[in-house]
Amino acid sequence: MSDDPVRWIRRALIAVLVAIGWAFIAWQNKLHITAPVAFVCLGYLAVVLTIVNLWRTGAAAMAPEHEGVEAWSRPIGARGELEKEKKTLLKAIKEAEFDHQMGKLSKADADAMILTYRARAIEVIKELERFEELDMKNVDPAGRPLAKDSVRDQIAREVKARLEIAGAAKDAAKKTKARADKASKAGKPAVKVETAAAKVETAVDKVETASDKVTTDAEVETTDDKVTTDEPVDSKNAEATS
Amino acid sequence: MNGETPFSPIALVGTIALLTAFVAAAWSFAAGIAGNALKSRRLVTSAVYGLYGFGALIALASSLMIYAFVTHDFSVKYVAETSDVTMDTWYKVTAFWGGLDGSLLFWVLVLALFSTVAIAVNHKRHRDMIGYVVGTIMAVQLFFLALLIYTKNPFATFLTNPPVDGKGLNPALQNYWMVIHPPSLYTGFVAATIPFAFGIGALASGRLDDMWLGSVRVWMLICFGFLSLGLILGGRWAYEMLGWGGYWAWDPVENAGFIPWFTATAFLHSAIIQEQRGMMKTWNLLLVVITFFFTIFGTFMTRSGIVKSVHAFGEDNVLALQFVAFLAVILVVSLGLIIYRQNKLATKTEFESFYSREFAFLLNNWILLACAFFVLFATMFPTISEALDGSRVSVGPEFFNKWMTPLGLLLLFLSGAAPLLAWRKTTQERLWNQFMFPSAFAAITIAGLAIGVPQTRHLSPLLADGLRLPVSLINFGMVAFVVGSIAQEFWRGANVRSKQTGGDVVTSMLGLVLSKRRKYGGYIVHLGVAVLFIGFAGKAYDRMIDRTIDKPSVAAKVGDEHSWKFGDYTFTYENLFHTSDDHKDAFTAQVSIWIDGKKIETVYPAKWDFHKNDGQLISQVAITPRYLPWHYAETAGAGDVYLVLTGYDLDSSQANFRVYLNPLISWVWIGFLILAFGTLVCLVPQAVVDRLQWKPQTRIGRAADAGLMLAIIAGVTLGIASQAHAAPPPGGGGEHVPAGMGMGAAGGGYAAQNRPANDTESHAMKELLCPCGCARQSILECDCATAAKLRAKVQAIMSGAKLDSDEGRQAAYDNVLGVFRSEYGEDVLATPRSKASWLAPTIVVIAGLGVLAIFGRRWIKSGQRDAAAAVAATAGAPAVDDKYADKLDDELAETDD
Repeated sequence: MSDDPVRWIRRALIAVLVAIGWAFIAWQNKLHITAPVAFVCLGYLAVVLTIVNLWRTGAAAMAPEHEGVEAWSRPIGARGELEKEKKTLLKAIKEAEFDHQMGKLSKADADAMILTYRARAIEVIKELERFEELDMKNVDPAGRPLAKDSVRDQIAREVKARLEIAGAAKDAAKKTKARADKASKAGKPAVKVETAAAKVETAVDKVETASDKVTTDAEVETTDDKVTTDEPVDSKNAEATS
Repeated sequence: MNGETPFSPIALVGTIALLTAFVAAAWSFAAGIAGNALKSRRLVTSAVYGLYGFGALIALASSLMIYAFVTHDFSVKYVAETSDVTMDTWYKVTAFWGGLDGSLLFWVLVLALFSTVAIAVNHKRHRDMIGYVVGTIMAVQLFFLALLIYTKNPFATFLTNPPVDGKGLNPALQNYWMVIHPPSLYTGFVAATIPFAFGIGALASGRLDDMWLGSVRVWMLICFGFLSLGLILGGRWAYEMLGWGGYWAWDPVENAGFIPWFTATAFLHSAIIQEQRGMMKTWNLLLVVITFFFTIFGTFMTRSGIVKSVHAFGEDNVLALQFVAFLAVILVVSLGLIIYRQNKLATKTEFESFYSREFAFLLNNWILLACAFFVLFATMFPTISEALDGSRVSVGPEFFNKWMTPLGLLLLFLSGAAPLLAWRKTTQERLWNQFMFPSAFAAITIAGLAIGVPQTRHLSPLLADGLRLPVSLINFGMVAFVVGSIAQEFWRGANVRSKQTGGDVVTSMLGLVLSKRRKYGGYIVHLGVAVLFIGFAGKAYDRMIDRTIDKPSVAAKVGDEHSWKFGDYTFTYENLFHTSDDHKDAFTAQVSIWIDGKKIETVYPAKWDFHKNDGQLISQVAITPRYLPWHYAETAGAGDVYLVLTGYDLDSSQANFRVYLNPLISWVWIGFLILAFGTLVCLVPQAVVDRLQWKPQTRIGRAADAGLMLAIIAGVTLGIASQAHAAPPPGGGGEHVPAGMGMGAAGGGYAAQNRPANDTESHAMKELLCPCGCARQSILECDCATAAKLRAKVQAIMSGAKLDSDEGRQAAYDNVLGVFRSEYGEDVLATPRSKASWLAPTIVVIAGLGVLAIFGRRWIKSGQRDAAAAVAATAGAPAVDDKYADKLDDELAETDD
């Protein structure tokens, strides 16, 4: 909603419209501001805001879906949970230190607590590092080759790959057709070659249809709880959305 | 729409605005939920704009409604019923929420404004659930809007000729406190909708991590703050307007605001356990749901007529049924979603020790919920008993006090003890170290008061008449314990920070409050609660006297027949006036207050008789606060001198006065201001603190910034405080009535008749409620003729009784109650004698403690086992790699204290 580049112009226009209306009301009342005049002004402001917001309600409903930077789900997968646990542990260590200095915890208790928290915090840091390494290697925690991005990115890559294949096939079909034309010009039988080209074009159409379908599914799957929570999360995404 | 039928363009446009708002709300509701379920960004965006548009439409409808008030459009029924042409403009504006229909529109307006802010701030942060949040808010709005459109349309017009003038606003509401009290209480009620909507959004979307908790906690804190403000302003209004010398009478309308206050407070504590330990997710969601449920239930109680109250809106069975259906939907949907999401909500609950802060929070939750349950039960008990056996009983303030006093004292103790405990566990040695100073301070206070102020040793009934304890002494001891505990926390915390940062103690304390503002803001709130309890304790020492003086004299002197003495004060009745203006007759007495022959104040207690109020007189109490240090030197105990004109005879100028000496009552208002200050500290945004941390770099500069920040918060708090003196300027020293106004008309002096001759009579009169239709006052306090007659009856029954032994006094007391009970029914008793009235709260409170003890032991065993395993694992683990240890230290250095 806030990505609208002309929003400031629109807001300024609304402000001008409100100011003109208020000035008119005041002028009509000979600049004598009384309680009724004040509430008429408020009513006018409400009318302007009503029109603007109801118009935007309709416009938003009719607008095409826009899934860009603002993805549906924020990344709260295993990595997100680890980040959260690390933050909690760091605060717990700080709190234990503070409690000890305040006299609420004996040194032995505080040390024992902090030791436990530190051990777990280091485990968490190691786990997080492992995720970073896996990101670098492009494999999942089980060692399977995997794109480092979200499921949608993986599917987008898959679609792109298929389209590239389809593009290559189209090129091949054109080449085959060109060869067939050449052959026909040369008086050679071209039926077999033309049939092969038609088959390739049909295959290309099928791949494109499949790609469209995959793209649609991708939008749904990306936001599915299970998929997002089970997947490692891209750190940039995490930063952008948290 | 011809000349014969009244036509109001305001009403027409207003109704169209409400209908359009209904459509917008329905669209937002559907688009929000469908958009979130289908993961359609455009639908959710549309729902959000729909919510903004809805807010604008309701603002339009409200502007039109107020416009109708200020332009006297009496063709609108609601305007004609709640205003007239003579009212001040301010009261015309506040008449907007002075009646049932307008109050519902006002509710929708406040929720629309709040939800607009909440959604604008959070729609990006919680974009994966915002559709459900908008849908939930709009479902609530649809309910209230449906009530407005189908049942209680404030824009409804007369079918025949409209009246020339309106009926006027209820005179009791024509008070400056009424300008700010309802909006603040409504805001508190409405604010509970936002956490509820986020809770439902989290449940519906399955995003049940801790992220939603942060937003919910802030809104619950706002809800807590406004509920507190609304309750205290209501108390102040009652104190000044109702003339019975108190600020809280456990009236159902007061209780309706108090019940969600308890549950919101419980949530604010248990949410910390979830944040710190990741436990109690289900419990926190339940508290969010319960708090919202109680806000709607409170609205139901006060608007359906199901309970009888001095300021409820009257009986309405249709409205009651609609509310019951809505409450059922809330429960079914919320609990259904919680059960549905149990797999995601289930967390392992474990504690390492009973002596831990998290367990203290659990106990606090138990007490707060016990309070909420008890207040709900006692408020509803007359209705429940009537439904069960057809006899309506009364539950007077005494019954509430007997229960709420021990629960309140326990809560007070915990508010001092919990900050002393560490998270997870506190060893015995540390316990001693932590508790030594506050306990010693409490012990010294108790000993000092018991020796120096013998009245504090007075025994008061607790839970039952048979159990009598020095409640005041315990109360003051607990207050001292909390003050000691909080002071120790601040002092030690500031010292630790001083060592860490190298700053002085004052700078460190300011830094400490801002860097750990939730914790230390919370401590300030605890301190405020302790100060409030000083004021509550003062209630035990209230003294009251009624005097009838035959004639005033401008030359009245101390000791003559125009004067009377009470405590250290002497009062002289000097004059009696009667004046009139457009909407009332004012009957005003002029009384001077003297100490040791020196006049300290001239006050003007009065009765106002509004022309359009069928003879109901409104008291204008004269309150003289005396709390400054030299006041303590002048009199044995300082406090409010509260003077009420209870009766008068215009022909003879005879007047009857009631004087209350209310010691310590100002601590109630001061305690609230401290509580408000603490709440504001908790609400300081992180961005503000970050700015303070960045510039300037010098220590003095930082301290100045922090000091400025706290000064701004204090300024806001004192701004609220200044409202306490926002009364019209007193003329000639009187509190509300300008000098020169008069009084007259027929009067009684009933309040002074048949006053109790001994403690047993007084005790019995206090236990019997006056059936005159007053605000459930006892016959001891009520100033009507009926109360005077019933007091005579008590004295007649007791005449001849042997009162020289405890048994004799008890027998006489029981005899009086028995006679009244057989003659007037159970309804006349302030404390119900039904076993159910005692049994149900006892069972619930004890069962709650039992559950806590059983589960607590189990959780602690589990926690200790896991802690031991963790220690063993740590001990057996290989030495930590220095690289990781360094990395951890780096991260720790970057973590805020």
